[in-house]
Amino acid sequence: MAQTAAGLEGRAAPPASKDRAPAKAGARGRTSPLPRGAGQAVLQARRGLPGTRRRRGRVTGLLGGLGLAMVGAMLAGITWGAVIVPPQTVLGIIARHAGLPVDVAWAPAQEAIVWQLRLPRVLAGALVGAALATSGALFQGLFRNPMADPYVLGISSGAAFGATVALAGPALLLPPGLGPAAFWGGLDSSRLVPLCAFAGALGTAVLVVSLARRGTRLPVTDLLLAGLAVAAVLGAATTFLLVLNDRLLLRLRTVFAWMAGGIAVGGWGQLAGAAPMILVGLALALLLSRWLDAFLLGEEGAAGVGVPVERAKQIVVAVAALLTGAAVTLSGLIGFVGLLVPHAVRLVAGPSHPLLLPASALGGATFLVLADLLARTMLSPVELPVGVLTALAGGPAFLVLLKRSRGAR
Amino acid sequence: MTARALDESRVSQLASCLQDGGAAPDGREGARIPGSAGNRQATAGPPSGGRAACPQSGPALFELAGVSYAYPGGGDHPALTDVSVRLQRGEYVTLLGPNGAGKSTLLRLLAGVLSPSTGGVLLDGAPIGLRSRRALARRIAMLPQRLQLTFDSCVEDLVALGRTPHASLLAGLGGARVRDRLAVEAALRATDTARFRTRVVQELSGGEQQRVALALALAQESEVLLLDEPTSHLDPYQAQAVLDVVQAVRRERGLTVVAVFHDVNLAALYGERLLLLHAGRLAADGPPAGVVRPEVLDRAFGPCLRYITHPDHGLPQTLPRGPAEGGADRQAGTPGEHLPRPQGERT
Repeated sequence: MAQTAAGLEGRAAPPASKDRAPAKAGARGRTSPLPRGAGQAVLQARRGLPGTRRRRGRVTGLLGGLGLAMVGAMLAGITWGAVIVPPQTVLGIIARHAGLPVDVAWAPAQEAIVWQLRLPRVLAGALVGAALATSGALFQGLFRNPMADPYVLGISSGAAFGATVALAGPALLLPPGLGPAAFWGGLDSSRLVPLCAFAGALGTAVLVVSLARRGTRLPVTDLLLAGLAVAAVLGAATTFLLVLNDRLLLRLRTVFAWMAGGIAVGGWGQLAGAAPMILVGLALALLLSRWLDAFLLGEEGAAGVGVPVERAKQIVVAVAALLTGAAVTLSGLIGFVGLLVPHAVRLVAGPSHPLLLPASALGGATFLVLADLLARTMLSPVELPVGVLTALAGGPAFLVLLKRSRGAR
Repeated sequence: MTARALDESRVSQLASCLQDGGAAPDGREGARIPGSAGNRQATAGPPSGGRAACPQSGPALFELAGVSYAYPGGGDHPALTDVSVRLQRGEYVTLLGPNGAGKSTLLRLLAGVLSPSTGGVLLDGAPIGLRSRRALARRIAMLPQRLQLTFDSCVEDLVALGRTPHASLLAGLGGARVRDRLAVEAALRATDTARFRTRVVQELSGGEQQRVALALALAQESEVLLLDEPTSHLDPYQAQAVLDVVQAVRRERGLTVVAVFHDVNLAALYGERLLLLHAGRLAADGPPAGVVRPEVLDRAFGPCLRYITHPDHGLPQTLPRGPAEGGADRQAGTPGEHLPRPQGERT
């Protein structure tokens, strides 16, 4: 067992029992913080232990690859559409707006399409994909449940309810004949719906957490059950408002399209609110990665390795809810990204969150930008709800990946 | 090293302690049984237990003072009632008792995962609840009954989680520090799990998984190791392999070990000091020879055991009584009953 000591510097004083070799014990205790024979091990560690160099290569490879894929997807998303703008023109326009000295070799219409329409939309897609995938990974890690997704706390129902109320609420209170805009002081529904959806999403999260909380504890099972119950109630309330559609002058189609998910961002203004929240949420999520890793051991295991479990749970729920709520304001309800992207990444990269979270964000962004591109162009000029596409494309792709990874073992 | 060799070193330690302790040398054959005056004089001094048996100038490593604990909703049935005990640095303490006696609850209180309903748990003289989880995890590692993982992770990554309390929040992002990697390597080697470092933990056998869990706890480089029935799922070979690793690391690092055991025999072979819990109360406290004897154990387990001596270690062991011929003994074997027993039954 001599090797046991290598690197295991005992914090307690070496026991002074007589049947031990005293010289050995003494030398260890006094001369160096590391035991004798550790020099070799230190050298080995500096050079890279078996596996670490390979792993670091894999990390850079995966994140680099996904980063490139995301940039490529975004470029493709800006290039294709009703009008095709060549990639070099796209790059030129972006460079010019970034202040670089580039000769203008394009039509003003092209610049308007790229800068005013497609770039914000593609960025929105990337942000939403990153937010949903990261939020899904956070919830899956927290609940230790592979079925968890960004909407697990009833956040989607809350958002849908908020959006429906934004459109139906005024009609409930006002005499027939007046549209929602009249009630909300001229605020048009493209602004109003995201705002109410965000409020609904975060309000639901807060409600569910406060319902599930017991004293200072936040039992995860209660959280899931409270989420289910609140989602059911809000879902029924939303359906109720929709069924009263005729009387409420509610634009059923608008609400339906919103629920099916679609990135309806047509300018920079809409990004301004959500983008900072998503970026902050992504950064916070990265800071939580160590805690989430420890949650792989279960709550008691996590506590055993020093995680303040109750505080950690509340912070993780808050960050995930913020990401989901912010994503909802840009895109409505998009399913599958938050559930499947983290799983797909986990199959490739393992469950370690310092890698899983950024890789999920990049993967989710890539996936959603491509899905949105398809949704816009496949049946052009008809635009499909992107949520339909994410499920149609994501489901089979994930099944293939799952099958393969199980077969490989 | 055998338990007997340990015993010998313990004797020499005790000899020096006894001058202040005041107990007779044969005191280590007795057990302190709280509430029974007849046995009290058996060990008056600090409970025997390796080098740390010497009363130290500072406070005990752990001190439980009148600790009771009831689980939420437990109502009138506290898991622990009025337990007071001091655990010294470097001791190997095993917790024994029937199912539901409060063994695991006591362990969780020591880990700081639970806080007592009444009474206090002190670590180095200060209430354990005042320390942050992280500070506690640097000093106390806990080995669970078995790993319960949802997502596939490889052995190396899992063991590296033991470094969580030593790393800053951001450390995971920049790759592990040399110090952390050395600790992980040493833990892998000590538990002989380096061979399958890249395998998925869930695909390993139960014994291998438990060694991985032990590696995780060792990577924490704590001074206290808490074991919660660490061998209950393992075959005899694997069980002893795990316990031997604990024994070896303990000797290298002067680890304090507190372990819950289901198996009286393993407790007697590996533990230096046995605490017997019965219905949430501390029923006995002493070395194996003092606790593993019919008049002590039968109070908790009922008369369901036969007592023998281990041929190699000279330590007391038990056998299950087995099917009773007439059936009378079996019916009498209700735990907690104090049945008159024939003398000289001990073989």
